[in-house]
Amino acid sequence: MRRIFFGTSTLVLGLATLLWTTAPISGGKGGQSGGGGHASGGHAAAPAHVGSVHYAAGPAPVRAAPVGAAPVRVAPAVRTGTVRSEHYAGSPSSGAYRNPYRDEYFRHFRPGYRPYFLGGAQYYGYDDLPPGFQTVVIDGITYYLYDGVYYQAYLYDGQTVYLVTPDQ
Amino acid sequence: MRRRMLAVGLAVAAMLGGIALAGGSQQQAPKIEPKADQYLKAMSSYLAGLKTYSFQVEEFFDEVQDDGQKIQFSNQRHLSVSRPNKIFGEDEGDTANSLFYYDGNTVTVFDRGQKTYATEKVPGTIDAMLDDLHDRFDTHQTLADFLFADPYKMFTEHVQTGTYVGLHHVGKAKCHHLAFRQRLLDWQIWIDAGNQAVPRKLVITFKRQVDQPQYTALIHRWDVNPKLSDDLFKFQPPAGVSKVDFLNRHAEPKSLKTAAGK
Repeated sequence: MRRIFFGTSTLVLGLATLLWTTAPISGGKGGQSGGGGHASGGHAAAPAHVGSVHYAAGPAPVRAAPVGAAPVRVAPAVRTGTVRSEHYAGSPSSGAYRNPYRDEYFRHFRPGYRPYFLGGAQYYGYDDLPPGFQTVVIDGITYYLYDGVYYQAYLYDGQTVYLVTPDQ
Repeated sequence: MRRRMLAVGLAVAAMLGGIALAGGSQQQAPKIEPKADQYLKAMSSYLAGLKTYSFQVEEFFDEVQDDGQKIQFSNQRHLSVSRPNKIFGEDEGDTANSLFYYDGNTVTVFDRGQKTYATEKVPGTIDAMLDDLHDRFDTHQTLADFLFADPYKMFTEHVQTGTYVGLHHVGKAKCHHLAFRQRLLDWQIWIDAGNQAVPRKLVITFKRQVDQPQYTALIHRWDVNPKLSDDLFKFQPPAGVSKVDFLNRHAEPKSLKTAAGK
């Protein structure tokens, strides 16, 4: 019995130490959420461009890596991804994020979007508007419309982001 | 049977104790070599004692591609600070083209490329403003560590060890080269060994990320007593620019249905 006790205790202690030492490792590339910006990306570590010891040790960023082949506006990152596999709906309580977009609407999204994790939902945004967009004002809010998709401009980390507005 | 249950209970207690012990070790006092501590403190005190200062930054950072290749980008930044509550920043480069204004009441960020700006009411000190921007908008002022009222406290809050590496050069300046380790990061700092204990270089290694990308900042053109007019920190929107909101990490945008009042 004593042997069982000491053996179990040692094993459990070893496992506890192992868990602690390995847990925070981020599996993502470029400080992002795993090369695809999947719903779990909100728990990634700070990206490498965060030039601050204080904030780099902090929690996850809102923005994840771009999905698809469209270039970043000023820093053309080379990334590929499957658009459909990123259209993920889940609940924040299960570690995932709510999907605010309807499937039919999502089909019109062009490649190159980035996931943004806002208030428990996973939104998508772009660094640029598509050529040929129209400006539409609804209830005093300016939207940009192209191929049935509405975008709204926001400022994020010093850059303008065009977030896809949910249609529902 | 009772003995076996007792054994299992003790094992669980040992596991919880082990986790607590392991987790608790993060809060242990950092082991910083006296010489490293001395120079970090000297730099922090020097910066904390400046009323106005400005400096230029040339930063480089890695972006790791899906195939593991590291691509480096760079930006130039210029920061002007008037303690306790004014900052002006100018950024230009591969991933930045913006102006940052903090006048003690509001922060405005102007994206010069897209001609958009956002303004938000913020707390009345640099420390509280920086934390507020981080908490609400996931926005980080580059080299915020050199802007806080107590840089030493911010630098050492998660430090596990600190080492004095030696007297090394950054350009032509001789500097005290210090190296620190944290759970998620390693970082190095080069502090001018001359009369002004200003930082000349900062390197952060994101060691818990795949391929360990780095951030490097070369800090130069220090002015430790610039004349900074209040107007410098106030944003006047040029003609033809659009006002937008900051992206708030805690708030979801209005849907089209809500916006249209349907």
